[in-house]
Amino acid sequence: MSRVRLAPPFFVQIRSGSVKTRSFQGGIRIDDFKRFTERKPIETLPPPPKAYLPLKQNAGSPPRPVVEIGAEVSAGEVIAAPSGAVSSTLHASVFGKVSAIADHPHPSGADSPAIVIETAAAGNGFSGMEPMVDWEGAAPEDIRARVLEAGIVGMGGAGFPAQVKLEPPPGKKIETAVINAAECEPFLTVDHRLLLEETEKVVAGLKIIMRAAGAARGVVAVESNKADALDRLERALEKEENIFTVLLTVKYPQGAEKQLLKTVADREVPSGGLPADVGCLVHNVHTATAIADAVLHGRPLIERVVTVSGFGLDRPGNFRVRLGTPFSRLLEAAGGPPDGELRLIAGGPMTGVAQRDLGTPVIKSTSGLVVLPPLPRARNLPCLRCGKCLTVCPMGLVPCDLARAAEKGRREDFAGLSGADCMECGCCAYVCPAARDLVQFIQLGKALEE
Amino acid sequence: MSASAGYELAITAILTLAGLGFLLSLVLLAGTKIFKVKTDPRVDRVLDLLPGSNCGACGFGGCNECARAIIEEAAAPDVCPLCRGEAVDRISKIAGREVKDTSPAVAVVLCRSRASAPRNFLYRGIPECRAAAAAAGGETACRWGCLRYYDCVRSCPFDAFEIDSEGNPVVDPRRCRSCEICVRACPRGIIKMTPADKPVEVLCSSRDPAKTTARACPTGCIACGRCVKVCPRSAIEVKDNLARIDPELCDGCGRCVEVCPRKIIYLQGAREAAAAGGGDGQK
Repeated sequence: MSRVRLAPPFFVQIRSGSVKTRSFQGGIRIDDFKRFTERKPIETLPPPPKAYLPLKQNAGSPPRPVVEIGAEVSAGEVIAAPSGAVSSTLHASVFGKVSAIADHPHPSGADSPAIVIETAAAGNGFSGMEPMVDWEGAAPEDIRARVLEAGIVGMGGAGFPAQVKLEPPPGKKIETAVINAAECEPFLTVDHRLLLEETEKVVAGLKIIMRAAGAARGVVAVESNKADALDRLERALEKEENIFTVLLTVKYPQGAEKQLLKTVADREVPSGGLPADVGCLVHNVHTATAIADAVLHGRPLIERVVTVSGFGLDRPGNFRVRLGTPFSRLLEAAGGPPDGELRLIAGGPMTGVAQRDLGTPVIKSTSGLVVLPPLPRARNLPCLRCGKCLTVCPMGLVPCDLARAAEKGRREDFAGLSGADCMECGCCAYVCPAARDLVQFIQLGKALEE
Repeated sequence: MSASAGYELAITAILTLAGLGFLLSLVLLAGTKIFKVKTDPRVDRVLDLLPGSNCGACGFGGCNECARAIIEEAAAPDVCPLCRGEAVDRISKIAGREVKDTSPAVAVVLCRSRASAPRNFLYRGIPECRAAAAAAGGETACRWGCLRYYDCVRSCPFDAFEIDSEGNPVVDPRRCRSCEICVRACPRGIIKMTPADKPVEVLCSSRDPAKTTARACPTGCIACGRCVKVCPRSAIEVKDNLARIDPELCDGCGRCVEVCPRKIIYLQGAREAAAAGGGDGQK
């Protein structure tokens, strides 16, 4: 097993030459650990023998199954239809037979109902949609309908149905569409690789987003640790007059929606508000490529790129896998999980969720799998009142007091400290010298409020 | 100055002050008559009988409030869970209301697993049950059982919990004051109030099929039904894969305790002995 060297300077900022980068208040400068996978081209893995497709792959209401057990499905066929205003479509990701609809481990932690498809031994059935050749002349509603039909959700991690975001709320106008290529989470390199390998598709996706949302201006915001991607992007954008690039400081959480807009547009999204309140719309790079695939090639969302990285992996990399592929297959492709006790995080290490079962499948919002050493046992010591958490909180909250209010069940105090504004980025817990699980406490506090 | 002038001065002063004092005392007397606050003397007598710990377990804001509620708002004379026996008799005599003879309830944790019980994963978050229960459904392989982060133990105002050698929280029925705070603190809802004189209890909460339970816990109820067969009074019933004893019918003969293959049926006496540090392999 290869040994991985931990870079010592954790808080050193990585600046690219003399280029001036832009950022926001608060946040933390941490080693981005992208070096494990940033130079690994995207590798396509074969479909899994069994695909587990949880119904809950989007924020809002999960779609309703429309197939029976035993049904033959081809890849790209609709197996669950939207069930409300904020919902999405789910497609079979492999060609095969529906063998069960039952509870299965979900990346969010608890078990959740999933459609299980056994992949057929031979054959390669695929059923897509008609490409929208004339999308530039298409009505925004038609593009949004296509995005819903293709089951596209926010692929950066939140999983919010993309067509809902593309529709400006009544009375508001979207001027700027921002492609979020900050990828501020350590380890993850999905957006980086997509920008490098599928530059044209990202640009096409952004143009389709602009058309669908009625935005006059497009922005691609990239952190300065992806300079090669930015070069390629700028070459692709030479002829575009309305699309700009912004170079961001490497800082976490630079890619959080509100922090990104503060940096890019110098506008502050009000508490409880949406980017549309400041005339903006933010979509992830992978969401843009998925939208381009759906509109230009009629391909529904049945696969995605996942970074598999972390400590102790022999072959970390970026893998294009079908949705529903169990984590165990991804880890095998990356050289197998290291022996002994470890933490497996779905998503980035800062906001991701620790996993308990290697059979848990990749869903639309799974951007990465990160293997980390186990947490030390000495945790949750008494708060030192050092105030580090409040200097790093990008939302300007007081995490130590929020955690205390949540711990003691003081609902009014928690609300008074604007606990609902916490986006759970994890900066406070990362810097806490008493190793307090501040984010978990705040999550408990939010549960108190309900 | 002559001596008589001195006497005169003294007498004037004494008379003035005495007169002033008399007049002011009349004012005070009038004040007490006019502004008299009517209190029921019974409230004070009840208050003397209440424990004075202001624990709030009665649901009122302290013992004073509780005493007033008993006299003026017709709260039950035995509303205070700390008062037992003679105190309740005297309070009901003062309040002039009879109290129905109810046996006190004690909390029981309906899970008695082993420290070696299987886990789905290792949880390293906030060491509290409510937080652990929210993390991927809890680390214990059994989704019904005790998480062993002891929210109940910390919540108990009367220190009625013991932790046995296997890490199970166990209520000492003699110290339990029926405040039910632990019942509300348990995120898995496996703490139940049972009559203190109820002799027997099945200490398991798993409603999963026997196969699942057997895999998840070395002491889970596998619904084998042996207790049902052996019970001479038909007080035991297996429902939802779990044996339950009807306290109305049970007479505490203890035959089910002997036949249970998982050894999770406990006699009240054995429970007390366990909490007191007695036998049955408990601390």
